[in-house]
Amino acid sequence: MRLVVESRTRPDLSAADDRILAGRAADGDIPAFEVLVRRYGRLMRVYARRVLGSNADVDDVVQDAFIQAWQHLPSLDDLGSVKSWLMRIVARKSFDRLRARREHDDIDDHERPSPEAQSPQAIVEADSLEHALSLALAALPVEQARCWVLREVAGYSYLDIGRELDIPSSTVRGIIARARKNLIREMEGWR
Amino acid sequence: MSVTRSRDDLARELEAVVEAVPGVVMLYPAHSAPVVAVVSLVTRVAGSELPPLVVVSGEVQDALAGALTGSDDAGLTVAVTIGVSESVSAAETCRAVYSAIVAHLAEAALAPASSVTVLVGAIT
Amino acid sequence: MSEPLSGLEPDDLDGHTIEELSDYLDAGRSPADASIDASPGCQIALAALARLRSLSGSILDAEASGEPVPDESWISGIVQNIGREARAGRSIPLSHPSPSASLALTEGSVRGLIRAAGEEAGGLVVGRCRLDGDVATPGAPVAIQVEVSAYGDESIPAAAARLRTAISEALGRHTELVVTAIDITVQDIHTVTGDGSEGAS
Repeated sequence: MRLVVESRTRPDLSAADDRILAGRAADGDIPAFEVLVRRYGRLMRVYARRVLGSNADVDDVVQDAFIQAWQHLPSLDDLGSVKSWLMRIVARKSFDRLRARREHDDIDDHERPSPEAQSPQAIVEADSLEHALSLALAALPVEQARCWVLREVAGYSYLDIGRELDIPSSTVRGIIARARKNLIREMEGWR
Repeated sequence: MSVTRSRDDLARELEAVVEAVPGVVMLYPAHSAPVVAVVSLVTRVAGSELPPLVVVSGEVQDALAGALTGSDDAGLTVAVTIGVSESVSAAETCRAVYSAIVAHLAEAALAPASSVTVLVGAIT
Repeated sequence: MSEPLSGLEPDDLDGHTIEELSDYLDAGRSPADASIDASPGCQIALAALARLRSLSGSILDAEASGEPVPDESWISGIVQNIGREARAGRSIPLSHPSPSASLALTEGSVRGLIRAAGEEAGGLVVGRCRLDGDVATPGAPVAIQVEVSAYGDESIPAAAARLRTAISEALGRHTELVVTAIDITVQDIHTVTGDGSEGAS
């Protein structure tokens, strides 16, 4: 027999699961939405940075993504999938920004390799496989890292990547093949 | 013909009337307004540029003029969206706001409103 | 595996390309390709590709935990710009003898009451609420549907009974809704650790 405990303590919303938070937020509870912002803000920033290829615009893109998420949350049926839903929104916002850069011919300003690029030695000394992969990704040309993340992490097809980045899907395949080779070489050096 | 106050003046008077009703903790921008942040009663400065939170439309007439033109005209309408305290029944507070608005118009010797809309947007 | 990676070009892969091997891996190595399966270079490369793939799913989460916590002004920049009025929902009328009176509560305010009833009752966190029925018609039967998750060690039926009472009292006090049912659906009990990952308790 379970012991019934009189609990009048307030629930800690920051420990509530995604589905409950998304449900409250969909119903209008702003504190619950804020918990989601804190819970997934960093992940969304990291993802936006990978798609955008640089730090520029990350703040704005992720803010815009959350504001759009608030507006559309009532139409999300599977509340438990709010994390992947947020990631899709931030990806779309990032693609929109990339498109805007292309239209303004700003694209090259953002295509330099990331400043986090480390020497091969740093990869060997990384404290974990994930850290080593992060460093290896940072050492890739921006386009390779971007396409690889979209394919391997976000699960986009070559065709969809090509559509979003306005390049042929055959080119996308080639970029990702080079990314894989470079990453394997870097990671095998870690081992 | 007596000079009646402007719609804007009446709206600001009614704001004060509504704010004073026990149980009212907040006035919100009109329900159909574009998405805006909540305007706190405390931070609003008197005479500020913000539109009044009580929406008054139609013609403000004195009681006699109103009686002459007849109440079937699209006369004065008043609408407000409020936040109320959980400690009082929201239904009671809502009715009290209606009564306060109606009473104010009568005390000011103005023609009654053809419609008074009070919407409770939050109960906290 | 300790064999050195000799190379990733077709010469090293018995004529195959990394693209082909990636596709083969994607397809779960099926249908089996004899020339790939028989090639030591291909097998080594496939193993490396598989190791890389096993990391990719979690790489962003790992990077996120190393990312600095966003500053409060950035968070405010979001929270201040989201609108309260978008969640009003339907208008739920209140009766009044005067024909000039249009009095109502928003559906959003009633959902807020239900969430507050959850805090009052304790033991359960209220998630999404639904008011099922024609709330705009006075006297129409309305069923309340609430999703909750449980926290703490308490018996769930006891907490649910308390919640039902609290909701019923709040709705009776503040609204004129004719509530015919209060359905409480308990989600799996989840605990969330500090890094945002989930696990079933």
